Amino acid sequence: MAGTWVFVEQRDGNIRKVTFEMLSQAKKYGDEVCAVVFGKSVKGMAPEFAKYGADKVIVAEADVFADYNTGAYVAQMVAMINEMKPNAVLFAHSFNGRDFASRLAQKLEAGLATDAIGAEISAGKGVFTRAIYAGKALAKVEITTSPVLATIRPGVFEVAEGAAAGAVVDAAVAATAADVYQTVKEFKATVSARPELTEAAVVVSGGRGCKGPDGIKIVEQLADMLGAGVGGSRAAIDSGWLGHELQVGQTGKVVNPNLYVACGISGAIQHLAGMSSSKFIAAVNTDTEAPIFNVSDFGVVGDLFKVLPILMTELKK
Amino acid sequence: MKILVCIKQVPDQESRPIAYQDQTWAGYGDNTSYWINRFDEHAVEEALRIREIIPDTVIDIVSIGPARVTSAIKRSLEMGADQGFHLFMDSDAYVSPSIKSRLIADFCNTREYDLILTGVMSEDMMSGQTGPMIAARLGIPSATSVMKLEMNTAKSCIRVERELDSGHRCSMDLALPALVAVQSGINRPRYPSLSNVLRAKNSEITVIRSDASLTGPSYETVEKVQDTGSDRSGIRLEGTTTEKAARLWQILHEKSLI
Repeated sequence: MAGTWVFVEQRDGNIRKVTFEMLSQAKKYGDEVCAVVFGKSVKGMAPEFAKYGADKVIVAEADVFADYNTGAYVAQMVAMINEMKPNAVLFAHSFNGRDFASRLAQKLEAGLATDAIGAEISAGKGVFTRAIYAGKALAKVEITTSPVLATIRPGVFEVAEGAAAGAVVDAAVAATAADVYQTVKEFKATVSARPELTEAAVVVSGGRGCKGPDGIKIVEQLADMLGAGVGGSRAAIDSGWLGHELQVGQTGKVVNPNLYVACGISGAIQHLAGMSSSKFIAAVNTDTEAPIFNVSDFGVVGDLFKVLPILMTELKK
Repeated sequence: MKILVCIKQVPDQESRPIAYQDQTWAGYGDNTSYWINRFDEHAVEEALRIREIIPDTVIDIVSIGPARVTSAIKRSLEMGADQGFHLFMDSDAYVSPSIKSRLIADFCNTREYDLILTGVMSEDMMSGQTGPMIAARLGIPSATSVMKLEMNTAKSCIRVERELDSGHRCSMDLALPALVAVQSGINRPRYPSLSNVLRAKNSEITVIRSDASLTGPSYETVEKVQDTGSDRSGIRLEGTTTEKAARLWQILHEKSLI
């Protein structure tokens, strides 16, 4: 048994940053680091993984892997793990990552920690830190199965460049069309020029206090001046002011930017679960008792319709 | 059409529910109140919507845990589900997704459900594993983070729309039987109607004693639990609105955050 595997999170050839975060973290374990990538034509990405410390890049190329589908991906990964026996396999904690890892864990009868924000792996044992109770507590979860499985929250680990060999290894394709039980009908995308929420250095979010699309517009203006991602609390999403994909919270996006600016957000526990690990939090809310202030570094008790324009005026100077 | 909705009862998130002893989990505090996992209410609601379209649908509810769990099952019946099943475990201890999925898959074995629904995750442990693991054990298709669910006319398959990262969605067909973990934005759960509350009052919940020998290994253990608390200053800036806004800008600037 050897090696820490990092499953590459990518779409149409765009590698998500969390992949490099996981590779950089895996390097610390002292074990061989392998990037594992599935797709139709993905071999060309290999040098990217070598840059961040991948000793090996294991490639499984086939038409059936063109888009993520649970059945074929699980069948392929089970075959590869049984053959090559890695110590641990890390996945991004994305919608696909947790879907993949959960079914895989059952197939392998292996332990899985999801949404890990801390990950120590040595001698076939994984100790993972996870938020529980909407982030009110942290649990340390120990996994000793072979392999150890985890999904890693994006934005938690630092990216460190460290060139490695990145030797490309072709994996035998074990999955077939018969493993596919999800017949894909259509892909839809909400295209945004703003940075991806889970990767943005700054996130500006709006909530009920925005009172409507006009308030959200001010939030967006501030975000654009800062080159920030835009998010929303459940109130803003349910009211239709922002798309569901922009919901920050327990079941939506969990963000860890350097700066999180909460505008007109009261701070329900489900929202706090999605942003309380941000490095610096500023809040603007008219209610001095709003729970958001308790998790903020600095707060302005005031009307966002007045405060945000002043911030923007200062920014322009 | 036979639907099973898997629900969990969770401690009230607004209180501080866990009791500790030397950073190990010592169960829940005596004053803890419990409710149905909010994310599972979306699964119950989705089942009710299917029954509105396909009237001969039967909706079963299943939940694992100690005696208190019946109140969460009752809540689902009050929303409109037909029958409740309680897989009784006389303990407040942590039960891993692996064990839970094994118990529920075993429960499903002889009951031939066409569709199994779960929430996206539990509010307390937040792992999101149990649903897909049940499907894997039963060897049936599954889909997670589902924002839309439609039954085809032949009732042989469902079309689901999954939420993916970066603003993407993907719609796909699953042959039945299948398991679907619904995302919390899929619907707005209804409040119980008076007639359903009265009906639920008289409905029996079937208690099934979980056979400990069936549970098998856990594969993971919770070693330590600690409060995160908040180490933030929570300072409210003073002055007029203009002064406060200017001060905030200055702080962000000094810290090189903008």
